[in-house]
Amino acid sequence: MDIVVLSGKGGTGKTTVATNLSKVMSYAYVDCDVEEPNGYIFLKPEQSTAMDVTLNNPVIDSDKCVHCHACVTSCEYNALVGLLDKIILFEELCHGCGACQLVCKTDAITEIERPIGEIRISERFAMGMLNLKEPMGGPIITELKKKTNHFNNRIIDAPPGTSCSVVKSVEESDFAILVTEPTTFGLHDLIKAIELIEMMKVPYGVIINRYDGYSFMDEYLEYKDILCLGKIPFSKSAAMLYSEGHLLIEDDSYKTCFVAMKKNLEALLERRSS
Amino acid sequence: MKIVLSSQGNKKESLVDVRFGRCNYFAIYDFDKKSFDFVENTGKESNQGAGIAAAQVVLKLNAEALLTERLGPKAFKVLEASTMNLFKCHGMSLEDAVNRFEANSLTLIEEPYRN
Repeated sequence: MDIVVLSGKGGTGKTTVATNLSKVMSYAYVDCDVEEPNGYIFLKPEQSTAMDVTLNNPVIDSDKCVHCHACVTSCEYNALVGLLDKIILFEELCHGCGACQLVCKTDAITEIERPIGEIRISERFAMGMLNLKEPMGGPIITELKKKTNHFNNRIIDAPPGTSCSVVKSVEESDFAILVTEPTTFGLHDLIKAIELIEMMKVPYGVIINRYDGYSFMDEYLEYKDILCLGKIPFSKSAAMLYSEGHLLIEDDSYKTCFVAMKKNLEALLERRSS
Repeated sequence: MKIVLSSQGNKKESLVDVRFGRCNYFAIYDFDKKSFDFVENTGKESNQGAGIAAAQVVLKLNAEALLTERLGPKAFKVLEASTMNLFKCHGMSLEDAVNRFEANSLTLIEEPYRN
């Protein structure tokens, strides 16, 4: 069972929900927010095994290249430019698809593996990390999910937004939790996240973080008949726990709140599977 | 001799486009014919690498010089490696830019633009 946690808007509490739920549900936690993974701050994993994630980049043999520019034309990502006497590669734009190698008539192109980040795996915890200046987290997320397939039950902490990295995190998940906050931006980006998740046909429910009484957010969910899995009350004590790297479930009232969400979720997942 | 300009429109009165990679048109001025030709910039909707794609198009035009407002780091890297001269134009029409080019009153773009 894979449950993915996403939000649209950043800073709504994906990691708060993902880390605390993984604890109360005894699920493994997988941090797919590879641009700035921070789940480890709260879950404090034991020693981990690290491995590099690489992307295949073309290397062009200038002796064999006849400057036909077939590779340049084939590149969907504008990573190659043909000058009169050489081909320039912009490696940060290369997706490693291998099209350039396929179309080269003189076999002038070979590939090298270029590290773009790493993944770290502990017993019930894993995270991906993209190297500085690298723009593309997708390959790391794919590798991270593949390498943690042995964790039977996973909570997947997705990156913010609705980009390719989020799609990669959501792919093949059994259920999605959309975390939002009762602000105009929160609602705006929640609607985007809902659009994405409905397009990907993953069943979902919403958790409202920083809940401060009935608002337009509740109205929206009721109007659209969207399942609300729980509400996390707004309080200074929650902010303090978070800022000190503690899980909210260390506080009894928040623990009750997350246990209630867990029960909602489990009942729901059970109904769905039967 | 030919020169290329990034252009907002496809008329000689159009303004030089501030953007290079995502400009609307490339204007090609032919000094022998004393007239403009226009090529639509099909790379302007690229998800990524629009500057690189534009540089590739401009290189294929075999022009002597490029007149634009500024170049991003990637487009600059490509064009700098070519034999083309790169000139800066700010807020002027294509005609005006060509006149100033002829009068030698444009400055060179010597480094990529950074925000």
